[in-house]
Amino acid sequence: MASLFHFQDLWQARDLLLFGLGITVLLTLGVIPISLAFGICLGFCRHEATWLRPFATLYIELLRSIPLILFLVFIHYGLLPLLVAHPSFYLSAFLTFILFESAYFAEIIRGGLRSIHQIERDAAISLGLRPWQQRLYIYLPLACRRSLPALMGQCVSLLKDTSLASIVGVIELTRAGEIIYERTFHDFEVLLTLAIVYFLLCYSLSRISQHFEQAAPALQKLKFLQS
Amino acid sequence: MTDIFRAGFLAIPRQQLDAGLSLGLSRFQTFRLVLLPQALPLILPPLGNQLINLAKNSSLLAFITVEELFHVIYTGAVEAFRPMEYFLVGAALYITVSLGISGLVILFERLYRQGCYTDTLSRWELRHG
Repeated sequence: MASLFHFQDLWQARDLLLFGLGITVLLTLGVIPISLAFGICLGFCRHEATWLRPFATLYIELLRSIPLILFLVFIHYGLLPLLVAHPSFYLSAFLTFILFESAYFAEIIRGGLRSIHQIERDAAISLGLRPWQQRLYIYLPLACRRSLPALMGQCVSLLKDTSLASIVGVIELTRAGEIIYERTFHDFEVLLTLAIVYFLLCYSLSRISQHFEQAAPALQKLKFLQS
Repeated sequence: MTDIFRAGFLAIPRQQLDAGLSLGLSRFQTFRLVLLPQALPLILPPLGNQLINLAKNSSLLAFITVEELFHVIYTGAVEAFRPMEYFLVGAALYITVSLGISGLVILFERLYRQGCYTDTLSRWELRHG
């Protein structure tokens, strides 16, 4: 029995690990669309000279200069108990990631919007599109396509950041591993496995993003741009 | 950080290096007098971003019980049972640090644009040949 590594404990606790993996993936996949939508709105607000601009700027700059972990405990222990009697930690983690990532997504989208040339702007106007049509059909696809690598990079870092949710009690992948090695004391094996799992997840995400980047010119062939 | 510096130096055309060498400068002199002054404005903004990220990520050290800002705030909040106050003060402190770093970057950029770096270089060259 004197083997160097003890992976059999890990195998016995595979249900817990799979549960954690599921929560991590669900958290990531759930947060991305909502925070992306919110981030696009914020990005447009900060890009255009409206009365909303100072508020969007304040929101983005504030959230971008606070560490995620501080924001997480602030939401879970400080803010949410004021609004809800007994906030679930899933709710607070979900809310935190949405608010936090939307600030980053907004900044990335704004970078894409800034790269839109005056010629493209003029073309959109001369097509006779209404302002909201220009935004929806011209500026948004252009900005998204140009900032696609940065957006996918942010998604990868979101996936890694979900490990912080363990501090408020969410049993995701990192916390599941922690529970196992606190029980068995085989921390090296567990952490090595976690590192490999996180690497596989992030690597597959970045491979998907490369696939998207190569497929991006196909976006030009969308119906509304042809007609 | 390596990537930031690499991107900055890759943005300079190779001919600049050749030109520096053909003037009889050594490789180090070419780097210091020709390449670095051109790469610096490209490197500074992402470097500032990276520094702010580093300052924020230092809060993760609390996980291995390093006594840094977040750890102090968190234990304080738990002991006093006043999360709102402690975390707001903590957020304000972190924002101050980030604003300080970005202010420094802006200051450096302004100094660079006013020619401080190149001035210092040429003065140093005059004195030490």
